[in-house]
Amino acid sequence: MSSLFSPRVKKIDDLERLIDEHLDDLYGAALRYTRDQSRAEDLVQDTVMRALRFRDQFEPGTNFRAWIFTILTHTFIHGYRRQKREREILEGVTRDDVAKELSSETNQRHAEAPEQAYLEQLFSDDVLAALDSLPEEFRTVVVLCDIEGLSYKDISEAISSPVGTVMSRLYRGRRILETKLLALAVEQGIVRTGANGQESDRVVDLNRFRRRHSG
Amino acid sequence: MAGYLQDCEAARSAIAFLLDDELDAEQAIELEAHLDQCPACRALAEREGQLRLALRRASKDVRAPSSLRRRVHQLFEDERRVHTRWHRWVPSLAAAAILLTFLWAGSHSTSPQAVYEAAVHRANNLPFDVVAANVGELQSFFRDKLPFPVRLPQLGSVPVMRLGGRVTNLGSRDVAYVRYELSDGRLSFFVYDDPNPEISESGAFYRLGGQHVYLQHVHGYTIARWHNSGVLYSVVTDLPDDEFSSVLFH
Repeated sequence: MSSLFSPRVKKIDDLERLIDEHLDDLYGAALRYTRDQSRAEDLVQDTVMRALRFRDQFEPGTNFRAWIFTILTHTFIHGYRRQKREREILEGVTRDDVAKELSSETNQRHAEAPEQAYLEQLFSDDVLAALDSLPEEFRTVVVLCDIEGLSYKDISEAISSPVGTVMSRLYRGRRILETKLLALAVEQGIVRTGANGQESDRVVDLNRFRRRHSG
Repeated sequence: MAGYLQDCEAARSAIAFLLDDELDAEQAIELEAHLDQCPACRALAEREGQLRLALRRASKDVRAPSSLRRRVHQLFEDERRVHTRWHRWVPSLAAAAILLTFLWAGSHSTSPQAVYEAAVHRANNLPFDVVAANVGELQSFFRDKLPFPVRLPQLGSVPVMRLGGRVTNLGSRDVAYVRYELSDGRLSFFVYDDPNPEISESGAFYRLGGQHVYLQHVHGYTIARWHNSGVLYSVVTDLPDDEFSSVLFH
């Protein structure tokens, strides 16, 4: 735009170009965070306002993606997420439940299950819905790592937690997601149940898990 | 530690780090070597990879709605407007004040009339931060914003249509800008701390209403200056001289 006037305006132009390049990704992450289109739009708008206000803190040539996703995540965590209790109800699962479900025994069986290409056959909307059903602390790190491709260190800054926390949340988030997606594949007949003992056991486990939270 | 990733348990715990690109080159090569030889670990790595692929694939078609693009673009437009305006005003205001000082020193010959007039025009038309009902209100507006007192004259017998002001800068100095708008002209004040009053005390000296005032006429405008308690008052006006002195120094 009108960069003739001043270096300040040029800096605004540069920021707009960068934001423009990342807007789809920012909105995508905001949609996963808020799980609501209009709240996602508001979150991105607030993020851009903050980026404009703090634009002098961004050093050109450094990792813009890490910078802008940190602002997005801070803005979400400090202003957009729902109250804790409300979140738990919405998400239908509490951390204790997750911890129980993720006993090392369950993981071990998961690890030894034969690899099946069911993930490729799921609809994108179903995959995203499964991601959206993750409790917030797992959802944010999975979005930042698996979708946006940020490093552990950058994620640690974005969620203001140590790298160890990032790694354990990622691990647990991915395991819950795997479990949910496998259940979905079974429901849709993509994975046949009863094909072998291990699969059947796992489906029983999952159903028990789901009953516990719907009741 | 070399070779520890050859162990299945260690290898499995590192698969996620490999896929997340968090291993250094040496570790990555070592783990890849293990995966090449161990079908069980390889299958696990592939499944881990598939989960990430599924998430990326599912997200890649999400597009920001055009309403959001418009909102974001508007934010940048607004920000640019603020800075463009700011950028335009600062030099012209500084130019106005510097020109006034410069002309005051008596070297009018070097400044082109058009530039001078543009500067004076700007000085006479700066936007207000505050519009005040009376002089007292305006003085208290400046009180907590400036480190020096701003004492504004009450105009005698002439109705003021509009009175307002703003704090602005001249170089690093804070300056009070005040404008009285009368039915037939304007009086624009620049008020600031003046550590060297003798420099600006040149020109034609008058004693008006008990005040020592220096006056100068340039290109149809009158510039007046005086000091009060170490503060310089510099006024530019398009009012005729007799009216100017009667309203200001009654």
